[in-house]
Amino acid sequence: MSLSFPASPTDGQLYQSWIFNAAKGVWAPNLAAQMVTSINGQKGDLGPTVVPGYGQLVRLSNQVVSSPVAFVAFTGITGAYDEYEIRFHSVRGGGDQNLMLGYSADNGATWNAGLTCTHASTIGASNGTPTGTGSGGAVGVLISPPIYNNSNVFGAHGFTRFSNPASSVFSKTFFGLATSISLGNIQYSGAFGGQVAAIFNAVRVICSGASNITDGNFSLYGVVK
Amino acid sequence: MSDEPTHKMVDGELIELTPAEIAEIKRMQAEFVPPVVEQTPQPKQEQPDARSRTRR
Repeated sequence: MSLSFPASPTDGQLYQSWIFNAAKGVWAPNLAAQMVTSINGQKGDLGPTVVPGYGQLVRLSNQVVSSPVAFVAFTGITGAYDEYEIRFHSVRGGGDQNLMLGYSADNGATWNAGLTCTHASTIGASNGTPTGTGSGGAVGVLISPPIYNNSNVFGAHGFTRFSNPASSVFSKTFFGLATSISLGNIQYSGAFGGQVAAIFNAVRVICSGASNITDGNFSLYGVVK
Repeated sequence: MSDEPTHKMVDGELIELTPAEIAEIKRMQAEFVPPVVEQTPQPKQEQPDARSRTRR
């Protein structure tokens, strides 16, 4: 067998494709070269596929508030992840209210019904006063210092994690950190923890007092187990 | 701006609240017990004289 190549390959040509014709017993240029168009069903940019490893955060949902809402809800929470995390930033409200987390066992149809929530928090201020601690609260769990009104250029930032939402064995504990700055440029930072006994499949972020959330970015993450 | 609840955001979708939902939100927000805030005034710290630091 012998092969011959075109006398003048084009500049930059990387390869040539040939096909063997068994009936004629000859090789011929393969004018319709078979090109790889997908790998494992992935087309387009065939860069390396990133598979999240253990402990990595996977963003499951993102919600951006730009007009007043009473609350922001994430539904469809399952046992796919042992631990979830809600991150929020640039959150402001119609009034100076804390953010709290509510739970639903029926995917958001009703909230906190039959769920026993407890919480504990410690809030400090950059000017030393006021500082506050709190506990109790059967209707929700505190997750931030006051988010302050919508004329404030600062928004509240923070996260809260909760674990085992679908477990009938473990209690659903959560903890988080958050900070906010008042119009008087006093920064409040707090640590927030709590627990919910019952299984739940949706959560909502809502103001602890009579106020809407006017701005903010909320994301739900799952921690790969 | 009114703080009257009118809408909710669920999984990215803006949804108008029903009267029953509005009533539930108001009841819940009225029931919540916020952290106890202690208004403890802090003693004023003595500030160094700025002029003595800038004049050399």
